[in-house]
Amino acid sequence: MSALLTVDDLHVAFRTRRRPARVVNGLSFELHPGRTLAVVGESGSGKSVSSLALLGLLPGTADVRGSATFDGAELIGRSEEELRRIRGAGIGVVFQDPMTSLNPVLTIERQIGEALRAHEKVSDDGVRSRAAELLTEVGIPDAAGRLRAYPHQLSGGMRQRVMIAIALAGNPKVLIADEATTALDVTVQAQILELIERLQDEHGMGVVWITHDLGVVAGIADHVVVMYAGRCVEEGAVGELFGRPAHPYTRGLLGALPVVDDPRPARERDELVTMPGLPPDPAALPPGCAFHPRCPVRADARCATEPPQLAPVPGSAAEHRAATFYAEEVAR
Amino acid sequence: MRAGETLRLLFRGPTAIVAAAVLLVLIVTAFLGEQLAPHDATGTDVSNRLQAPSADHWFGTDELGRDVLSRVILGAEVSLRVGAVAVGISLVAGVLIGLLAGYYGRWVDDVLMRLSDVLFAFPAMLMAIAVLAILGPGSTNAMIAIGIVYTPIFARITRASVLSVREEVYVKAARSAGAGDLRIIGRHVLPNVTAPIIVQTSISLAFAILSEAALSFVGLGTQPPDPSWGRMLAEGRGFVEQAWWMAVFPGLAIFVTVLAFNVLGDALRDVLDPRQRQAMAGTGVTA
Amino acid sequence: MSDVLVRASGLQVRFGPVRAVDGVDLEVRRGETLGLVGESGCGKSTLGNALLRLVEPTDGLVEFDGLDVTAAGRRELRALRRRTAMIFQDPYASLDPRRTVAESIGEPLAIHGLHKGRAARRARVGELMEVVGLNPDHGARYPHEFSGGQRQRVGIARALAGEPEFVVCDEPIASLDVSVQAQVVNLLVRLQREFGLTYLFVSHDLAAVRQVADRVAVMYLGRVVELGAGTSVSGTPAHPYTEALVSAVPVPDPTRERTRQRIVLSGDVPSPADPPSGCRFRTRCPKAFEACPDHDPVLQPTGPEQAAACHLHGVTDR
Repeated sequence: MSALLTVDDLHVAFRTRRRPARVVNGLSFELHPGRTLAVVGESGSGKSVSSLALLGLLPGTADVRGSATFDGAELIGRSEEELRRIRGAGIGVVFQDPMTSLNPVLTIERQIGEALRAHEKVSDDGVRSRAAELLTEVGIPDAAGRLRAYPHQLSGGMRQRVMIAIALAGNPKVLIADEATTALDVTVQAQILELIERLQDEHGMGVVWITHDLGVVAGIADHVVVMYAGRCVEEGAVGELFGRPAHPYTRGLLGALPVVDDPRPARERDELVTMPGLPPDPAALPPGCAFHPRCPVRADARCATEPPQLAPVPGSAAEHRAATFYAEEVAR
Repeated sequence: MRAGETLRLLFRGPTAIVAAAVLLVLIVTAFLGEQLAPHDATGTDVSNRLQAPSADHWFGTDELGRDVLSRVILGAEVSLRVGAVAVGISLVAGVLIGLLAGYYGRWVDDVLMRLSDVLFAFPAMLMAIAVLAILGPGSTNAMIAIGIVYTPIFARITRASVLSVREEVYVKAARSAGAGDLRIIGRHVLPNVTAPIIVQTSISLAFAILSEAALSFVGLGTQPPDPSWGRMLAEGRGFVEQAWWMAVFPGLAIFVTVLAFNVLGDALRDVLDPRQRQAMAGTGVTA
Repeated sequence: MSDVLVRASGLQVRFGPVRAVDGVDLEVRRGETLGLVGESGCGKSTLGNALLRLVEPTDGLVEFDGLDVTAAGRRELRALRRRTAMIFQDPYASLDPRRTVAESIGEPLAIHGLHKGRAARRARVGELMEVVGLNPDHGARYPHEFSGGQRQRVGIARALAGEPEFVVCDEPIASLDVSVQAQVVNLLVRLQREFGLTYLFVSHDLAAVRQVADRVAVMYLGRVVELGAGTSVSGTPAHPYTEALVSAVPVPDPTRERTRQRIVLSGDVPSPADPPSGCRFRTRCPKAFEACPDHDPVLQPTGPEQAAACHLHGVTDR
């Protein structure tokens, strides 16, 4: 099966007054139809910037190198006009904050209508009925009534549903969800996760789910890419990555999470696993492995000079790869 | 945000440097006054009246034979003093009113801000003239009058900033630790509302100097024989055709001073606005 | 000495028509961590603030160690503020940008006249910085020179400065990255054990609450709907809302996450200005029945160390 979206050796650097901030440093992944790819990382890991790069939504101070192809068409280096056409027809996006993504002074109908008209010529009546259909599809009751509403009249969850409806307007083959449930309460998040899974089943979309929440990833992803300092440090099928994390960073992240269904009372629990220090400044990345100053496994001379490349994790399926010299030690 | 960093950013462009240099020269001139003046500024010498600019009298002489350059130099002291004291009055009164109104809100706010609305509603000059009509003319009273006129501006600016700072989490944090109103206002609110006040001070100094000139021009400010730029302008008006220098040089002095204060005020606004500041510094802070 | 340090009875906070906290009875026991969990707008933060009288209750009573907080005068309140403290959500907003971190940490000392004298105060501030894992040599720095996690440590040091007995932690990890969250959670737990603190840990994150809290109170629309030992509330929830909440929290384990029964609630939280009649959860409750619209349930015991406000355990009325 050929990939819908292929990112190959993507680099993004922001020009600043001082040294350039190297935010994405050689990211590669593939997304297949009907599959969910999760890109996980903490703030500053480059996970959001990489998705903005392939959508052509970065400011002019960003230098983007590498390749990203959608359905065989190259996205990097395209003009704004071409990108808009590709985006509209093929890639839908849902961002974190539905309040700032929606225009506060336009009705929901206008905003969905704009998205619809961007792809095809439709009459006003056509827009209205199609917009109402979309709202129903994303689970908004009384769709016809809600079309006349303004964003502030809707709850956060409802606004995010509207954003999803707008993303669906062009019948996309790929949906990029960038921290799409981060601002929502967990019970609302559960609704949105369920909705996206249903839409994915019905439309066969490929979904790129960008998040910091490993719990969400465990529930929805097929394949996971863990990012640190702009690189993929580990990737693999969700079961393998969570079951046998091979990179010390992945392992640290998993250990840092409290687990709700741990039956022990608080006083009998172990401390959460912590990693010392902070993620590096993208304008001053450490030489060698970017994680080595925080690495709990080991940091020797090699770590500080030679950046480890993604390599298959011994004993796992071939697609499980990690960028560490100590995969075996970590997995043990 | 510290003073050193602020100054470094402020003086990155040439305009702020020039403005500050001009003001520095003016302040030094005001302080040295008598020593700098080449001639006696008040002594009349009718035989030497209405001389055009020359090597001896760079700015010429006026209708009583007084050296215009010397009078402009001594006028700097008068203008700056009146401006500084007047703005000092409005700064202290306005900031105090703004702090109280903004911090306590409710009826305190209503009373204080309605009062300042009333003051604000009159044209500034008319208001100053009215105050001087009550107090009588003279440079001291001119300072008071100008100070009263500019008080509402400071009150408004302070109040607006206080309203937002009052809601900051760090203010709540201080309250949760047991801090009283006085401590919160003095240690947390006031230091965090200084930026717009500093900017306004610079701009108000320009307006106050202009107002002093205007009041002196109409005879309500500085009284003869003291040299004041506004007064000199008024006196020179009658001689524009015979002796253009009598009005032009004090006029230029006013123009340059007001411009310098305004330019510096604008530059300060850019530097003290955190959003502007970040853009100027190039990158955000990553600690 | 009573077992209860903080007690709220019939506590109510209204902002205009909005009933942020609408009749809460709650006890915080000496030395425990009580987790207060709920979703945005449920009133959990307001409740935490009302216990410290940082917002004025409209009705009801708060007692701290037997003292009536709601009726306390200026001086009593000030004395009380020494014995209580708060840790805030946003470490970027909770520190005064114009004061050095040493000044911020030392502020409670200055207010209450503790550790008088420059040298003594500086020593105490240094000690506090060390306790929370900051380099004491960095006291002269300003907040913008620190990362979010470090700033939160500054906030924690400030909270501890006056040696409080009761600390309200208001979403203390919500704006931090995962790996930093873990550091702060561990620190809070360690400090509690070291200093015998009593915590109210307010959070929307049930997993984090479970990690630190001995008992958990679940809030919905201004009310506490379930209260009990952490293990019971998340292990055997007695209120349908708690059940849905527990099931909605994602578990970072694909096998468990994909086999768990997830209860997805329908609809939105009603407006706290116009809550539904009877049980407030009934409009979204998968188990609602005839009694629910007509009777407003009270918290009733459903097991040892567990209580829920739900008619499934016997119809009650307030």
